[in-house]
Amino acid sequence: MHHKNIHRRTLIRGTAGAVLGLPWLELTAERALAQTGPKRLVIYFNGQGNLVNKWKPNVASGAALPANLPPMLTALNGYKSKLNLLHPVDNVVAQTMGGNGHNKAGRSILSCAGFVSGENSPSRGPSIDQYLKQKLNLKSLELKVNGDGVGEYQMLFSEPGKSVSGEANPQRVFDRFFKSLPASGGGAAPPAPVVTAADRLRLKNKDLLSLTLENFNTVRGTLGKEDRDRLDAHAQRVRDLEKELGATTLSPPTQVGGATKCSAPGAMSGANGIQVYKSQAMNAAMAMACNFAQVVTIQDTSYGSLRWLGLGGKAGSDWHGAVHERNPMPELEKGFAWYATAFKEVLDAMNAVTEGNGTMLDNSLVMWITEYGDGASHNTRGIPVLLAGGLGGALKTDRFLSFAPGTSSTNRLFVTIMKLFGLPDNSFGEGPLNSGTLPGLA
Amino acid sequence: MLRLTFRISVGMAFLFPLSMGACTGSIGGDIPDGISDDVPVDDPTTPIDESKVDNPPSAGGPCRIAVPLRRLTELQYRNAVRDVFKQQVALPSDFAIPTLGSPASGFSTDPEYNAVDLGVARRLHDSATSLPLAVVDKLPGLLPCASSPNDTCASTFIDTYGRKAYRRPLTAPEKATLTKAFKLGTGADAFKDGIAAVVAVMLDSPQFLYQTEIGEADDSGAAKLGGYEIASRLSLLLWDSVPDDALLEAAGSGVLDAPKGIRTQVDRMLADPKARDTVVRFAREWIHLPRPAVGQRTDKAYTEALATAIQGEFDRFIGDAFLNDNAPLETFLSSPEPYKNATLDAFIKANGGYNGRSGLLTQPAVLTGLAGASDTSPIRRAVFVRTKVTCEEFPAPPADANAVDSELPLPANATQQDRAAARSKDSRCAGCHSLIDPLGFGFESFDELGRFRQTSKDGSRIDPTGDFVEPVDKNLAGKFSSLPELGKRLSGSPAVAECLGRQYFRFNYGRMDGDADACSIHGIADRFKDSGLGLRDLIVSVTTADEFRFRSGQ
Repeated sequence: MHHKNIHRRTLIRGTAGAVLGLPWLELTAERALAQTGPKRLVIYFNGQGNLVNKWKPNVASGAALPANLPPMLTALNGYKSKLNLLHPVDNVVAQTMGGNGHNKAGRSILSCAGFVSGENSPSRGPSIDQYLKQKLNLKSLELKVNGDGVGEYQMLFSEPGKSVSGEANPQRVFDRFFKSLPASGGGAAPPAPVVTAADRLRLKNKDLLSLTLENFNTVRGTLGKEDRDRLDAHAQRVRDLEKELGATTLSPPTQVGGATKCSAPGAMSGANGIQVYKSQAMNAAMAMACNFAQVVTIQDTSYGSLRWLGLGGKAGSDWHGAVHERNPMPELEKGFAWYATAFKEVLDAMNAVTEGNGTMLDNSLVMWITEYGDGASHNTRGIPVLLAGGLGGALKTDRFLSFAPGTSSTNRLFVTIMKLFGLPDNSFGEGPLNSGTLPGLA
Repeated sequence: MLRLTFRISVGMAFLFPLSMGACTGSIGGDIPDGISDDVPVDDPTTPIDESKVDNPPSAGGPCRIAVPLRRLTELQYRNAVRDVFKQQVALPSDFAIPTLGSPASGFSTDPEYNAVDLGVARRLHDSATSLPLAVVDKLPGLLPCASSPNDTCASTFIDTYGRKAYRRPLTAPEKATLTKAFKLGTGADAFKDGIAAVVAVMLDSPQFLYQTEIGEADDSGAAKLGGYEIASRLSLLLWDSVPDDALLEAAGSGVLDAPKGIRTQVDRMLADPKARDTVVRFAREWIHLPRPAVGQRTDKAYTEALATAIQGEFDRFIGDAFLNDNAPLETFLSSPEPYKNATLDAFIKANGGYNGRSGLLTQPAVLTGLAGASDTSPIRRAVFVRTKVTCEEFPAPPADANAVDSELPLPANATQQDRAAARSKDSRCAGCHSLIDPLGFGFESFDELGRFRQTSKDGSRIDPTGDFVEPVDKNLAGKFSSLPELGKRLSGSPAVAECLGRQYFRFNYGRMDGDADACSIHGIADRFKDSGLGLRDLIVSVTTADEFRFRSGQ
């Protein structure tokens, strides 16, 4: 399948003089960067907090992590040397916002900013992933797991009031980035190439989008200001697509950033449960290996169900309600411990990509965050945060850090991250603890 | 100074200070931890601008309504593709357009919901470049001249399907753009590839994706919509799709320039099965009714079959009330009529029977949707009546509602009544809950699956009395001993009739109403009342309003 595609592409180049798709073009443009090892930020989110007492290691702040991580993190024992565990981190801004407890926690968790207007409106600040991307001129990939609708957990914003959507279907991500790349692991000789009508249409993308923009121009002249702004925002996204899809030159993929080839990840699965987490993790790691993205978010969109685990009692029928009621506890422990299993897929996929003397994980920063500390009271204070990877040695690992009351905020966590990525910013978002860094982290 | 403000009617607000514990959506102090997600509230509370009270801006002049530029919703996009190409092509079942934002109006047509970011643009373009392949496969059926493909035949395709997709004949520049797209087809399959390119550009373009209403400027500064624009408004409003050939012909003939011509088409369109789906969507989005999955209700009786029956009966009830029966508001809110869905009918008969049934208020979909996982939610039921049926602007629950709730002194194994009693004694809760709880407890004779009952989960005997405390319309106030009594009282209230019209206004124009819309809201309500409060007449009264044919500047 993949071999067929690459062969076909060669043919298209030969006959039509034009080529398919974004990936290879961008690859060439960014190869130089790749070989020096770009810093990447991955943010992994799941809802409903955690069982903090079973998440927090019983060691002093600054001490090394125990060989056996606490029960909620057992799945990550093998990664102990690459982790930082932080607690408590407070989302201070959410404490000042009224309205639905999920809305406010979701909107502010990555933006540290309040609502634009009512409790159903977007955040009035950019989220840290989008901000970092813009400031460092990086590319981002927004992935979702556990369903397409973000509902109350709209949390990614490119600018005040502008939310950013993501892709929940791993196959679509695969098709966008990897369809034309060779599969990893070799295979049989490619079958004879076939150029389909679909290929021929896709080859015209640049022209199609340019004609589409002609139509946008026809319409916009007739509109009032507010409508025109709305339409112009859409037209701008079409221009972005034109840039993304309209490549007209081709360079073959080469090795990127060391030993692992930029290649298509394995088979995708859209089924529920661990398979979809695994598929998105592979997409994320390979998109970064190919340098299609340097900032990746993976959002678990549902806090209502972990149905594939077959949990008992209320935890099986109403996960959110069971978390509220702290009952039944053994089933809640299974569910929260499973989140570490799901998160491990991300670490596994990144750790499998070799770069220089280490792995992609060693050269990146992977933040696992949730919107609450204690899930039962939906408290936005005392959030447990896990950082994996050392940014190529810039960040010490194998540590537990705790913080004195009133010194730790999500703002400060994000300022610290920005500094690790070389940004000069001293503050982020709103609230009383919006400036300064998280003590002792970097 | 904290005050409770209820908007009873646009341009005519009643402000009443409460002597103690006002309902403002905040508990006071800055504690806010915890959550309040047990009470869904969609309408943000905006304080009334008293300078505008009793002084609607449009008083005197013709009634004109500002209408935002609206993009087709996911559902409309899906239906439009189906109908443009004569039911010959369909989107894959997993096609989805991500939505952004959560609009105050609560309706999926709200542009706030349908903004376009890069993810949405990609999804639209993916669809615009895959559907043409299906269209080309069906060309023999769609385009008879395709058997002898040439430029004239391509021109026919552009005229025919361009008119359906854009909902009007193409302008010369629009035709030129699509002709250029056709010329992109070269080589052995030039004709088919060219048609595919035409379809791709068509489906990516704003003429298809948006309801572009330009009209012709009139003296009032508003634009008078042309026949095609009215046709497009009608078909998206009543069918969630594009106009059919008959509607386009009516548009071209000019008969839609007058309410009479519109009326003829509306009658025809409301008789079409497509209208049923749309009116059901209106009801679901209006009530903000979730469809609980089987696992989300702990009672084992809530099976897939029952869940399906409950939803089916709700859809039937709404479809019949609004379209077949032109049901009067009173019937809608208080009818004892048994359910026509056989599965549900058997379930109800075997579980408490039809005792106390009261139209919409006791529809099992409403009782099941506005409930907790294992018990009723008097709070959700009361908030439904106050915000959805009487259109009160109720404040969002305060940030720390759950934290405060967990601090309330309660006996062991506290019942819902114990909790309500504790709330009524706590000054932090009583401001709002004195308005919510007594109303909600009037629904307690029905459990979370919509079954009639006389004892609650804790074994105590249910007192079916409820109390509507400080409603927007004082005629609604006071105790009621059954839901039919409440239903009859509601159906006689002008505030309720106006509220239903207001909800349909929001649904139609894709936005919240404001003070400037008073003329339209009042006009709809007046005509609704004059017609005898029939629900089908409500739709007619919106579409035949003078302002339906106009659009003021944005």
